[in-house]
Amino acid sequence: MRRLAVSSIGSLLAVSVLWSLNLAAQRDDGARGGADLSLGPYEPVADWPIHDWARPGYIWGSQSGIFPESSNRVFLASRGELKVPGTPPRNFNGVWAALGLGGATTPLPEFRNCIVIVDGKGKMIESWTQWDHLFEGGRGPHQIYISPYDPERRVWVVDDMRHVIFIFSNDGKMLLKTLGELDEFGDNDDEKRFRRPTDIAWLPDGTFFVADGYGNKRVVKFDKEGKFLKRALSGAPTPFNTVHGIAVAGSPPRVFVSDRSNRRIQVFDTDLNFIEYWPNIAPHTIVASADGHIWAYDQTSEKMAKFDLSGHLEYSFGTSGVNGTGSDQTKFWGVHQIAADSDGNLYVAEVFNGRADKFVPRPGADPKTLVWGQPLMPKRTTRPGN
Amino acid sequence: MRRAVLLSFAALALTAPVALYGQGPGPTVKVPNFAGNWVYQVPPPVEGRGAGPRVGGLDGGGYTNWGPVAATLIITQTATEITLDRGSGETKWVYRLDGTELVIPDPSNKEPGGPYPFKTKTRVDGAKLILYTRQGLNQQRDILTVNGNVLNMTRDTETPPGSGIDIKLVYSKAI
Repeated sequence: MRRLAVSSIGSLLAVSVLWSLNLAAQRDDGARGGADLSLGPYEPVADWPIHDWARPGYIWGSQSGIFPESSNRVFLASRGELKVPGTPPRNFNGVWAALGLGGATTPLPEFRNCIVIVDGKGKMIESWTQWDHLFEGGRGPHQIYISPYDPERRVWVVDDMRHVIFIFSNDGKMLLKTLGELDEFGDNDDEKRFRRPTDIAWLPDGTFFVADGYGNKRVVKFDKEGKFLKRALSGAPTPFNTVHGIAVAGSPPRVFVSDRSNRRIQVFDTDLNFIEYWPNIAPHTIVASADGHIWAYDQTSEKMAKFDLSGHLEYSFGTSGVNGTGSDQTKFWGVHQIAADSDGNLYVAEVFNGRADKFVPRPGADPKTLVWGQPLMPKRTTRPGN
Repeated sequence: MRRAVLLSFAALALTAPVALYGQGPGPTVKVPNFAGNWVYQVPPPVEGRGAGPRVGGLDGGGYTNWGPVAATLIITQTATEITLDRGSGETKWVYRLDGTELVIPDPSNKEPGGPYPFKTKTRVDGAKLILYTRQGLNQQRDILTVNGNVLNMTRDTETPPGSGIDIKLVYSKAI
């Protein structure tokens, strides 16, 4: 117990000091090099995706989720399409925030093309319009995932405002299961209902954890069939406040939970026993990198931050701002989900700017500064006669 | 023979309504009776620490996603539905007791992109009746219990930024 307390204090100090030092170093690097280092080791892929599917007069709205099954099959989760008001400015780039009307989350959208799949060049290859109706009455998907341990590669879509998690077949033809009760919310002790769930993370045996959420103040553990096992409340001195992200990393694995409005990450073991918390980070999203680190996108500073599994900040990059023209993808506003493929490409969904982005490593980029996607289990194929 | 036929008809006449009721959309669980005219009970003033000017509607009752707490609540209830009339010409909230969703048009809704209808659902949990009410992105859950002439409501709301009010309301039956 004492060791844990000391560890927590140590982490606290280390995070605070390193965070300040790292930000200072970044400013220094930028001044010396003269290059735009706001994207750290990455450079943007211009006009990715090729967004040509919105209805005339509409643009895509708040982009809440993104997940690469591979570099050539990338899932986009969108909170519908927004009608462009009046006459858009000259050279309007199709990004809601560029209209100067606030974040893309504010207007209620029309729920079309909520789940889209694009290829490596950003061209749409599928739109699951058959499921758009599921998002009516809510505000659209919250985030989208595939478990790295699932050979079926089922697609999990969290819908916070409808209080459920949808599980689709990989081809989108079937809604296999709905976790939670549609349009019913429960409290922290409810084993059947969520209250604004936000995120999911898995163990290799299929056991999974749900961050629950905006309304509840807990993390929930389920078996691979979706049976409730247990839940954990905050282990920090105050209750959770907006449980907005979750990731599993390490050996033995640990569970890293975004306690966003408290500006901290809480760490648990896989039985949901509290270990420690890391202060001064308010993640919209939190992911485990395949190189054994945690990446989080900080709501407060609008930066990507890389931590070792003890909570030491190792690196960060990012600049807050509204995205400009189609080729200017150097600023972030409300990055809501980040994900990477095994080629080192980084994918970003921004709820406030209202766009999805793909970034590739700059030539000569230090691999230690990149996010590495967890490889997915090989896809199970049906053999003839089976 | 004739008597036997008559008895058969009588038996059929007695059992048919039961069979029909069982096949219909009626409630499958017993629902307590909440019908009545209910008057909001203003909570007593807070003494000592925490005392001060009350905020919200109805002297501390607070505002919901749809205006202040109703001063008088008229609840009507049938075997299949329960209706909450909040007065002041507000659109009545109607709920199906079988748990299925009901969509209620609300022409008075002025939200951008609206008017949005109310969408309602219920759930019965023992002596509790749980009412879910949604309109646009506003959501509310009311948990109702009745004890004689006292109606207790626990009210929670949800909006996109996060949870809203979490209040307990007490109504007394107007006799």
